[in-house]
Amino acid sequence: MTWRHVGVAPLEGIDWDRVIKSQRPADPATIWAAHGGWSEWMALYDRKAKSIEATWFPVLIEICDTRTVVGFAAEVVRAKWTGIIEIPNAYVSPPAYLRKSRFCTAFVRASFFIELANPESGLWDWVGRYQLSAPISRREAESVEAPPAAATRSGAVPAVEGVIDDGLPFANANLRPDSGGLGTGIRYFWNQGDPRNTVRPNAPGFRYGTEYQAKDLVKWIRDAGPDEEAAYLVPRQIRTRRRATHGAAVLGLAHDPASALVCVQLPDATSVDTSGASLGVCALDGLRYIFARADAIAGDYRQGPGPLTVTLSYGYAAGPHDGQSLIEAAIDEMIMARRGVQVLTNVVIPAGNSRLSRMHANFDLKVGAPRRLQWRILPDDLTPSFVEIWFPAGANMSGVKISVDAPGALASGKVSRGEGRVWVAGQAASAAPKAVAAIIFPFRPSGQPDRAMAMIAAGSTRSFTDEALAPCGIWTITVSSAASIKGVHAWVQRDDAAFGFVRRGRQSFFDDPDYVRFDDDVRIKGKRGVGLPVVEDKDKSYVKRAGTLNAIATGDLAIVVGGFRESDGSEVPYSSTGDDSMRSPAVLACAATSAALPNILAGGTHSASLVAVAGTSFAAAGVAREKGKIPSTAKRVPRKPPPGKKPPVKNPGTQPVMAGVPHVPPRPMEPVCRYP
Amino acid sequence: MAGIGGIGGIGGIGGIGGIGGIGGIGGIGGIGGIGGIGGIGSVAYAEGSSLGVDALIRHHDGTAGKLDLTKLRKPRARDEIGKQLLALDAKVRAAIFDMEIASRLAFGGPGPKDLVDAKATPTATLYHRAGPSAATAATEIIAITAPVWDDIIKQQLGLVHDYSFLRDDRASEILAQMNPAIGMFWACVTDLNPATHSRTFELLDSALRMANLVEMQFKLAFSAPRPIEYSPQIQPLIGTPRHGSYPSGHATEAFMIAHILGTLLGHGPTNDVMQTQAARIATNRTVAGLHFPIDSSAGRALGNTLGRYFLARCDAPSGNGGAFDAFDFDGKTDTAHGDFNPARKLTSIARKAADAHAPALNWFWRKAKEEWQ
Repeated sequence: MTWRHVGVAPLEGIDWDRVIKSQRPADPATIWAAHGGWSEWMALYDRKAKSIEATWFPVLIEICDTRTVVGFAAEVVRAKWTGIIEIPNAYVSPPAYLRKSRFCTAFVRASFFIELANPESGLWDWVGRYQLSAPISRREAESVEAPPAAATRSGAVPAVEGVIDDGLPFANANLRPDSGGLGTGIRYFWNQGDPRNTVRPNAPGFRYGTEYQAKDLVKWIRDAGPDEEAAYLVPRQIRTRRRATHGAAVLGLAHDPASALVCVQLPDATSVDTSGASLGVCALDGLRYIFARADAIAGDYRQGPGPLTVTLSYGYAAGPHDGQSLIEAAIDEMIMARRGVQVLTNVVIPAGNSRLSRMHANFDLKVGAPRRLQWRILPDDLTPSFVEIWFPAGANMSGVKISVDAPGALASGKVSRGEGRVWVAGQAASAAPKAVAAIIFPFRPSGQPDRAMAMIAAGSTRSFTDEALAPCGIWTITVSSAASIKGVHAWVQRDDAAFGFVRRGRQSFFDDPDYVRFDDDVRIKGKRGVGLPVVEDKDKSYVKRAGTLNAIATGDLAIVVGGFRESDGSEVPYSSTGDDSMRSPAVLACAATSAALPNILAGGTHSASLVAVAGTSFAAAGVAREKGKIPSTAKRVPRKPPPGKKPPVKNPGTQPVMAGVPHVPPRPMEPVCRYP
Repeated sequence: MAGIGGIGGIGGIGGIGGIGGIGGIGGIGGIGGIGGIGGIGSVAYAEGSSLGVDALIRHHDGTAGKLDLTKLRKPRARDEIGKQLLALDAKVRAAIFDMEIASRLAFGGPGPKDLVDAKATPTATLYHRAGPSAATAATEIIAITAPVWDDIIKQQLGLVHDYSFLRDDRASEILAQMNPAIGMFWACVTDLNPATHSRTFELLDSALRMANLVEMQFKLAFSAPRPIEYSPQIQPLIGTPRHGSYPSGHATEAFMIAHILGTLLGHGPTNDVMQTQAARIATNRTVAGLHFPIDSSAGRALGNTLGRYFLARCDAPSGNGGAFDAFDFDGKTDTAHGDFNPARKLTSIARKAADAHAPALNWFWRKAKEEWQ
């Protein structure tokens, strides 16, 4: 039970200390996975999880400046890297407007990480940075699809709505273009979590999941007869038979019957990752897929891309929050590229619901005054917990040290930039040693290589096996510096059950005695209130409500939506918000009816059913529905460009402002008797 | 208290009966209401009450007088079966119906030794036996064949686990559907009500008792283990019943009721909803962790067959002489993708219940139909 240098992980044999010290961007998630024995990734390819050679790892990649994914794909073939990296065809042969794209996903072998552990590798001429994603079951075959030779439809290209979410109820009558018929407004549906290839091929250009097209969906709806739920039997969508799912509510609110729908159902994140952070590959692939399918819908008319709005009601808490994370930069690039050919291209992202969750700290470092962060880790947490400490660009990092004291354990000792330490605990002899905790402080983090970041990881506090556990309680993180640094941020990563999923993770948070949660606390000077949550930062705590924005919502071009209350127009208390260093949501939309009814009505999974939901996801869905009315000047507070960094990308299209979107519940449907 | 209402000694007790009636909301409570007012009371006799018996002895002494055999009343007419039946207590009618049904049923199935081989797929058969006036031997009502459990058990347990993700969503329904007399779910779509459909209730109860007799024979014959017996991780939401898993009794009864009620209602749009309800009641048992999906598939075939057989028995004189459609179920071949699919078309087999005459049931069936006209 001791802390030691990160060192060489046994399976792939990489000297991770060298990687952390290197000038090349390092991915803390990859290093943590290596010290967990890569077990979740390997389990998908080898039940006994003993063979790393058989395993494919999904990663997000940014190609170096001035080069492109298309160029990289050619180089992979030329340099014979095809055995270690496989770029989906959707990126190798993109639509014309994405030919210059520098972002892609890929399936890679462990040799990819081994190759990149060498700072001199030729791969670094191409790979600017990479991030490991959650395990995905890769298929051998990649579907290809020829575009139609001639127009198959005439008239105006319909606007396309894309939705990336879970539990999407394709049989719901609300989604039908014409009430009474047995159709669906969904033209294409990529179920990323369906690993079987028995009913349909996978989505063209990708090697996982299964694509359902309108004709499949209509067949299942018809075959189901009077029992709508039977439509979900063939594609095995048992979760969609719940009364309510996140995706059903989002789809019900976002759907405009005049639009064609393209859906992407994310795989269940609960089995491995409750943070959602490692769903990056699925989210970016989903966005690419929707773009491709929207183009295909326009292609049926022999026309260029039509208007497109994508609702990406998804997010997590920790990240650089400067728009430069891999997924944010990739989303911005896609929006900008498509706006070059179709100005009406929008991606709508929720602001997040973590304003009061005590997951964000913001503080200055002074010489001789270390900052101690009290991080409370809960018992019964089946998943790891993470904190990311982000330093401003240009900070003097030479004297920064970070240490961790876990309850009842030896202190980690001080860790400087370019170092990493893991706490490896003894466990059953049958398994490889596994890290219980880690401090990974790479010289350059792949999340934002121009800034410094330290990731603190704590393993699960409960397990179904005999693996060693991390202690629950207050973990003290101490940050000190030999020079003063202004504007250090720390975020606790999301670790919570998604709507309607079994709870595995338990959300850790910063537990600072100075943080005042309710306004009847005398620590707020001159104010004794009535016990309501304090929604502005008035106390002297380092824990801040400002700056809690969804970590994928700090880019430049996506529409970021917070929530307001319909009765009095006030912001809902949990709606995450930006601070001086990041832009606030562009739009507030309805997320609650009143103080007494803190939710809005949205569609349930079954036809014509309604459920009460709350959260910025649903506000975002309402904005997506109103896309036609989105006007053109954003009221987002501009983000200050970090020193030495290029200014935010210019938006060639329109950027909207909305005073607020009124809540419109889904259309009530007449009951339909399908088998008279 | 006994003295307050004059006759009220009895009336008072009747009043208590009235409160019971109110508890029933509607139904018998209507009569009870009269008792509550302090009138004659809904319960004529207070058997078991020493006060009442003593009162009647004294009352008889004081009012009957000398027996006069010249002034006899005429007993009720009993020249029609209906007049006979309406004179009976409902419990007695139930016994009459049960005899009419059960006396014509026979069952043949595998013995315990046939279940030793895990690869065995025994078949059990329910037969209709002709009455004493017919010369024909027993004919099949339905045959059910077991699946090869070894081949499908992991897939089926996986599905039971998958369905457990719906537990928080379905918990209240699962609890409300523990008792097979799940009248409120049918009532909420058909407007079934004891005040207006008392004959229908009695008829459905008879069908349910028949189903129970039949199910228990099949369940014993197959003695299929429940999910909990295979894995400690299934953890059913409610207690696992003490009888076999295959076929599902809830599925059998729900689909049977849906068919009988659907027939009474004339197979309109309500029928679609009742089929959906039956499927949901069956699926909820898998969600609860009590049944495999294939149990519901077999139960659906059995329930649909029993519903049709029951109606053939009810309707033999005016219907098509005991003919009915049956749906055999073969667990070996009916496992295409393992899950319970209520939309899958069942293949019907035309069968006939020879000499199906059941006079009491026939008369009652007509009365039940009148309740829906």
